[in-house]
Amino acid sequence: MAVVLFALALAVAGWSGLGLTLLLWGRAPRRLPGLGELSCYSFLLGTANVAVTMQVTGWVTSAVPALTVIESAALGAFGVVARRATLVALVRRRPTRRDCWWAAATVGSIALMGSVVLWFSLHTSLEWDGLTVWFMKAQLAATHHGRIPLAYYSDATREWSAPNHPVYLPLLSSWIFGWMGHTSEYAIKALFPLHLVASAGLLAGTATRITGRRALGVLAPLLLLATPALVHGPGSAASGYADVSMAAFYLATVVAGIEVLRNDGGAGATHARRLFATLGVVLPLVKMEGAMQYGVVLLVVSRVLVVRGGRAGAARRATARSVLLLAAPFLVTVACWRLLLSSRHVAATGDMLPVTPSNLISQLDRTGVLLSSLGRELTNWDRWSVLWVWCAVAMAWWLVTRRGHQRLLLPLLIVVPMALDVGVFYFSSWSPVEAHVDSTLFRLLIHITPVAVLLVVLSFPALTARPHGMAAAEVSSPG
Amino acid sequence: MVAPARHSPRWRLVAAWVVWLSAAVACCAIGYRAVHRQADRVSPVADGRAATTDTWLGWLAMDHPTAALQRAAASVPADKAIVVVGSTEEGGLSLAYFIISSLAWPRQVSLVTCAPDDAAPVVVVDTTEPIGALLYIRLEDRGGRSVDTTRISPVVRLERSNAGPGSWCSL
Repeated sequence: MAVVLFALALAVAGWSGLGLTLLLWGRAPRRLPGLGELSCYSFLLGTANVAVTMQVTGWVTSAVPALTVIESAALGAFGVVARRATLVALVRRRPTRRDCWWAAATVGSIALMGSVVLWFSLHTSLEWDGLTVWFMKAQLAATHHGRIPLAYYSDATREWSAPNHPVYLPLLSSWIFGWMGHTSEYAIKALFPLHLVASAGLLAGTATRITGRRALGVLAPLLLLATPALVHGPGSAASGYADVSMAAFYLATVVAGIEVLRNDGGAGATHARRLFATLGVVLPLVKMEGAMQYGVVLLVVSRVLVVRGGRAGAARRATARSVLLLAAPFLVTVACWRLLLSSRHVAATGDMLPVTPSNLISQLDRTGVLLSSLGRELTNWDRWSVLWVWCAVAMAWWLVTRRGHQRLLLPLLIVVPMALDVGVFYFSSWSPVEAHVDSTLFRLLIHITPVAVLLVVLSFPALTARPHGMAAAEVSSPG
Repeated sequence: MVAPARHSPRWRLVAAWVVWLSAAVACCAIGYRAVHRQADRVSPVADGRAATTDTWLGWLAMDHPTAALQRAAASVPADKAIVVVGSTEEGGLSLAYFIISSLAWPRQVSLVTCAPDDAAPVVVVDTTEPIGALLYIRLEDRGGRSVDTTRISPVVRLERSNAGPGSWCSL
């Protein structure tokens, strides 16, 4: 029975995500991704919708679960009815027999990856942060009508549970517990592999759609499975940490950013921007690093839009409006979250020093240690196989074979977050800093792993000496 | 929007394919081997609602430790704090404290450690609420020996006492 209720909770969330995704995609059937990507976005946006609704309704009422059910059902119904033409166009696509075989192979590789990760999840315990940071808050919310009690944020004896960490996972978990009727440290472990499955689906769909080469869609999930850090140990999908969820949303944001640039000036431009901006609301609520990562994608995408937009007055104003649309929901979310934390006098965890120029300057001598730690981590075969070495080669190949403003897009969306992940340890209060780096850096790298896999599969060489399909034409093209 | 990628000479394409296929094979071979090794090392864990906490608290020598500790915490008034008292040499004490603290909500939970042969307590996490009970973990020879004591397991006892810190680690 618990399994059915668990599935029902996710089905309601997914229904709201379906409606939201269809509304954001709009009416542009020719440019639409397939049903696989629709399912992945529905899961990610639906679970995010549940968490955001619970957080917002929790400020004004105690009837959080009931209101969230109503909102989710209504949003799903509205989206499906308002965009039924889009949905019908998707369902009515007539695949050839060959398409069906490739689709079956892709689903098979995703299922294989999902099964292995689920096996690890159900045969191992939640890891440290999974229990003490995320499950603890979920349990509190589940026993308080879907709301984390405000008293928790100012409880000095519970600072160890990082009250300043955001609410996506705790509220989503409490939503599931609400349906199940009780909390469960065992059942909740099934939630995290679903985020990795969503990543795999997005990777497969995006790689196939952009390159037109369906074998890459089969390969991408198998490469995720070949990355042990995603499968087992702290930070993995089996650990109960937020890192794999963060990775899924970061990948979705990068894919949405690519769509913003592909559609720029075209019929789907507004809808692509809306999807991207919506993810700007979600990322800061998944993990603290989410704000930084959305900021990176926003800056890179905005830069391309500005360069492409030209210097003429009207064009410049239109570009400024676009950038504002992409940034505004993100900035409002970050401001609201900061306001909540400061109103409850939530202290930052003692692991980090304040981010000030003087602290940075005083710790510059850590540079050698940080770089050698990064090098050691990227070549840790037991954790990453040869993924990062391959990614570095792929990046070089990408830069050589592609041209235009977007040539730097994907490489920057890997290198800049990685540099920030390392740079953050300049402000670590641990001494010596190596212990902090060794226990944390690999988990931060998990966030960008699916994007690294995306770059690797998109940069697969062409089959002939001619430039291959849409990867060249649409991802790395100039404006 | 559409602009072609640069043309690749044939030799470069062949070289790229060799590198990519080798990388794909190496990535999968090394990665799957590591995953397989990890699978071999997995030891069975309990299932159930308290699967993880029961596993992690196994060293406290009691059946269903999560439920037992939750019951013990619930016996303390909600506006009183619980002090977890353990040895400085107890490796699992921090984790046990975190779990007890999450089970005891809304009661505040403080952490105090006692060093061997030293009666002075070290307050690791302090509380702002009045003390309602002391939860001793593997410290049979310490404390004020309150008459109102509940034995939760051979190594864990709950003393309802409002005695001051001076007696918490007394020998």
